[in-house]
Amino acid sequence: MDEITCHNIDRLITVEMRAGQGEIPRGVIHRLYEAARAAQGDRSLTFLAADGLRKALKRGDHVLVVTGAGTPPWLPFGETDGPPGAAAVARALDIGLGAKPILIAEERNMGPVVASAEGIGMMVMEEEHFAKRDGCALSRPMPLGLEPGRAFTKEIFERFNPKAVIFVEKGGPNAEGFYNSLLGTGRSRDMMANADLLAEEAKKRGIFTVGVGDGGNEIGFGKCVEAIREIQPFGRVSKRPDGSQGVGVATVTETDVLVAASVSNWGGYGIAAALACLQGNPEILHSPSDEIRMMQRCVQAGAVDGLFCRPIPLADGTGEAVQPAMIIILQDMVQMSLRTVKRGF
Amino acid sequence: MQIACDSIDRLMMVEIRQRGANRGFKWTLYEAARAASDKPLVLAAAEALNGPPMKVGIVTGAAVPDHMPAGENDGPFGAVVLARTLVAIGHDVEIWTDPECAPPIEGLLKHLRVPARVGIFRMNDEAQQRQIAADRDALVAIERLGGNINGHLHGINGRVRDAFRTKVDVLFNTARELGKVTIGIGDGGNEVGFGKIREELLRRAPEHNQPDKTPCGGGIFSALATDILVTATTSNIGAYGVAAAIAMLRGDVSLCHDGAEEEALHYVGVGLNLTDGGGGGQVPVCDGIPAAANAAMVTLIKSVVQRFLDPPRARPF
Repeated sequence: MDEITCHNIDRLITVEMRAGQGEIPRGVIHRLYEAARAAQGDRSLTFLAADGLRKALKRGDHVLVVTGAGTPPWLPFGETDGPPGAAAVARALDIGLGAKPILIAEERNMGPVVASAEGIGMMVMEEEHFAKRDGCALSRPMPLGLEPGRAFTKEIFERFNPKAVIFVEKGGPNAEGFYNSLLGTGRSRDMMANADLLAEEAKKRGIFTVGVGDGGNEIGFGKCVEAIREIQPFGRVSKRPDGSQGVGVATVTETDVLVAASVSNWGGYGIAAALACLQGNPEILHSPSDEIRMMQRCVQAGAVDGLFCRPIPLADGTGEAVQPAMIIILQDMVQMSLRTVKRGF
Repeated sequence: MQIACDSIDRLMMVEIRQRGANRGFKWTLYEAARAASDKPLVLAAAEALNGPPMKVGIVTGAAVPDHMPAGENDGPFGAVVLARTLVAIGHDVEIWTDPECAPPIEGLLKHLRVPARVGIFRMNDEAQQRQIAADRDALVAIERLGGNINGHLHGINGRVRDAFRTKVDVLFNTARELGKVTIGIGDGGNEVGFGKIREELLRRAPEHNQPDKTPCGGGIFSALATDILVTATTSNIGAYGVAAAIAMLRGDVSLCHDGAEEEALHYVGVGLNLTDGGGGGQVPVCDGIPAAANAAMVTLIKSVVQRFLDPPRARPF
């Protein structure tokens, strides 16, 4: 398997479709991607993630899939970017590698996470049944705050002994310990699940980690903090919860592989597509109709689009038709990478 | 505008390609073309075409006897879609092609209800080409072979096309001499316009020139330059990108192509005997890419345009 298809998967999922006006930064995605790529040996990022996962995970291994972005009051149940990407990765690891995904998010964000998984055809079950069959996931809400987070991290690693951890659109702390929105609004540790603790513990144990993000404030981007400070409008200046000036949105939390995308969901889809190429099985990537169902379920469970700030099946403001269109193209890329043509003229 | 057009440029270059075809080359084409342009490729083309009413000639068509008797569908779809946008902004549009390619192009124009005329080349008639160059204000080649360094035309696999394909080098060179707008839209390096970056392509990806496969030894890269070069994963997609950039310049999303229309074009094309250049079949596939994926690509292009033209929205967090 060469990386050519995966390079093109990377290029597709990093096409920026931002609003022409307003506060959301524009013209930044390809720069974040290039920075992430430069920090990882100029390789295809989706290839590195998928290849690392298939080397780390064997049948029956537990894998943590961590997501959930957004805080009350604006996004009381989180946003539409994150849960679908996490669900697509969970499904891909179940079908492609026989791994056992455990979905982790704040309690408040778990509804759309579970709904996304169900929408894409994954049962979310009790532990007893989860252990006995394929096609399912477990959900474990992570408590807010540092100390409860430490206890949760200890318990989840001891109990499940995960062999990989994947973060999709999961905020990480900046250098002074605040979790920032893209626009530099800082939140304290007691407002968020401190998912960076999971990354730290995985690192301590030598467990493979992947971070997927689209802004530089998500877990994984610790790999290129300086670039984010350069690229993002709020890269150097953020707002602490008390209103004073903070050090910028870049998270310091690193993962073994960082996948930068235009929309974090697409990063998850890209990893699923790359795994489908590597494993020679197009079914590992979900279908366009799965995608439509998943987005609808996600929204019905309360998730809100991050640009329009309304419960509609968009992701980071990219259109309803765009999501299945992305999957159609990825599916064709996967299928063509497995097919050889001979044209005799 | 620059940012949104750069996004379209990059989207257009995503390669969706089967093994066995030359793979991993599209991004190189883009990077070389972008390095030779001071602005996004689709923006450069759109700005050149976005003026008061002008006379535009679009040149397309790639027929190969026995294999693609009425031509391939890459080129004609892009030609009629771009023609529709240009007619909508007041231009007079002619589409020039070889005799065997004319009927399907007329059929596509009828299908999209575009009042553009089809002109037919007399085989390598240089006087005719000089006349067209003098008449038109702008010339746009879409998936139209250009002469290589020795003046020969080649398919992507190095096969010579001189015997049955009109060479349009005189047309484009004359137009440039007369100071007319010239635009080349291509996807392989062997089409009109790539002369602009030929040296750079030889430096970056000499293996794709394939000199050993061309009888003259010159390779497939075209030496025919245009002022503006647009590269894309298929030439049709490149033309759709130019239409999208015109839509943004005019603030009118209706000037942009549409995914459902794109899918329909593939089936209409089959009925008009157009061929998939990827595998050589009369199927709703373009350069090996199925209709649904091309429609999805158009949906994404249009989405960039729609977001760009949206009113601002307040996000307080």
